[in-house]
Amino acid sequence: MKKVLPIFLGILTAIGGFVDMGDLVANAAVGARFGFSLAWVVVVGVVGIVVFAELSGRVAAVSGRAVFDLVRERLGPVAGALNLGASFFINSLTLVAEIAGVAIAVSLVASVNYLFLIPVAAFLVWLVIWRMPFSVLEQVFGLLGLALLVFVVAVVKIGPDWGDVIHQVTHPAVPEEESVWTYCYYAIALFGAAMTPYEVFFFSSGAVEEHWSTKDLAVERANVFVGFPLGGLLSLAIMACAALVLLPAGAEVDALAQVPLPVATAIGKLGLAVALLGIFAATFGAALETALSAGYAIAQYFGWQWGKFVRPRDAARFHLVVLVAIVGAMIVGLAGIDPVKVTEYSIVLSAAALPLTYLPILIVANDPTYMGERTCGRIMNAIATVYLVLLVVVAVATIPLMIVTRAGA
Amino acid sequence: MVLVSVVAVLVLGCVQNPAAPARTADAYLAALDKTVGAATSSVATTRLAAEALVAERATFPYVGETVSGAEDELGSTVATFASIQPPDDGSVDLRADALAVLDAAQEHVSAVRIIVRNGSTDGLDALIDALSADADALAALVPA
Repeated sequence: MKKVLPIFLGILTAIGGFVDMGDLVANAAVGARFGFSLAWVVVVGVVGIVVFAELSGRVAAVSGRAVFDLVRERLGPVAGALNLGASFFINSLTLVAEIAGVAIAVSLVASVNYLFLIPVAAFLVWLVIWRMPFSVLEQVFGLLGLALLVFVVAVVKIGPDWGDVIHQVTHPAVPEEESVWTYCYYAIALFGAAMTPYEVFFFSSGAVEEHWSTKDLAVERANVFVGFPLGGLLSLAIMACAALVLLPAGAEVDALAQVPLPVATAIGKLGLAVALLGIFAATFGAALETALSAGYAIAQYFGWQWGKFVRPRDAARFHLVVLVAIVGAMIVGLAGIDPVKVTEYSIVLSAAALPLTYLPILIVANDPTYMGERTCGRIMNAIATVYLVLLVVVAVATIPLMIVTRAGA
Repeated sequence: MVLVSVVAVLVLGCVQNPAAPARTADAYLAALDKTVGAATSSVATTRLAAEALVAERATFPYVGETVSGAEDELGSTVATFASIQPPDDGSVDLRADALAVLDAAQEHVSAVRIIVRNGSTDGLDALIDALSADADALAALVPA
């Protein structure tokens, strides 16, 4: 019983914390434009993040050190700097999107322009990071994110022709009115939404924050192998809602406000309220994670003390970086840049930069100096290598596709 | 820094110049096609939100914000299309027809926003029908 509760809680937190602004926007946009023809990408992305997170969580639990910390040591400062530069830039874009997402979610209830709410959202994100213990902030927003299960309920309530849905999912095809290049571009966007680097930085640093050891590997694996795939179901449900309601109406998703509209039409006001709560929790939780990830990345690269597991005065530079990241994201958000466009760019560029973070983690996870006897087994290495090749192909294709398709226009 | 600069240049290069001139009739038609798609999306979003409100399946604040967003998007779409120089007389006529339909759609979306922001649903049924007609009129602008 003593071990079951943390595992159960960890799984629930992983499910609820899986979705962020990128998943909300990407899955809804793809569903409203391509129907179910890109659902397979979500599955591929979920398997990828499971592999990515398992490697980094195991590295943290066995070595007691977070990923960024080890990457610099193992691969040298230049490789670490490349990793840091790419990751921090994308992380910053993501933070802008998440804080804007929080503001938009509240605006849909308060009927206030979201720009007025961005400073409030930014302040609350900082305040929660400053005051709330790590495990509490992780669990509270992870569990609140379970409200997004309302999208699954909505799909059932809509009552689609399941035979047709299954056929579309299992027989993906480029819609007639779309080009194959746009199809590939949105596949990369979905893939990037599922495999954002900050999730891994947060997951591995969080493992150190919570003092995980080899005894916690069961919890780590449960979170990753059970929680993340179930979280992926939420992404598919969001896509399905858009495919079943928005696509037939000819409504393309260019605003976060459109994402819960199918839930409202299917379930009503209660469903809408739950969906908005879920969207708030998902974006707020992701804002916490990306803000902390900014601090983790910089502090770990430069060897500064980091984390919420020490007194703030002992990790002053870490907290300063977190604060600067939040303020910077707030300023960019206040400039009125379309948060959906920022989200799209962040997830696509995430896909382009993934090899820079993934390869170092794979190398460290196979290094007995850090892992002892717990290096990757043959099966994990085989899967991880397949994904490495896939990530390189995606990374090479991303920018050309972005140019050719005019960012999916 | 170099990597970020390269990415920024590449990304900025992806931003479509919204008011780029259409040098041929086909190019103008392609611009109209994109405009119709975007406008249809705004009209559809407004219609779905209004229907949800009338059916008491959505709240006034939510529908108000959603329709306001759709209205802004539609306004931007129409302004962009209106700024594109038609390349020949046929395109000029096409522009006039398209703008008539787009203006009507804008009028109806704005009317929905006004009613909803006033906390009422009176008149929404008629506007929902009008929005459906707008969607049909938009579809008719572009050859199948």
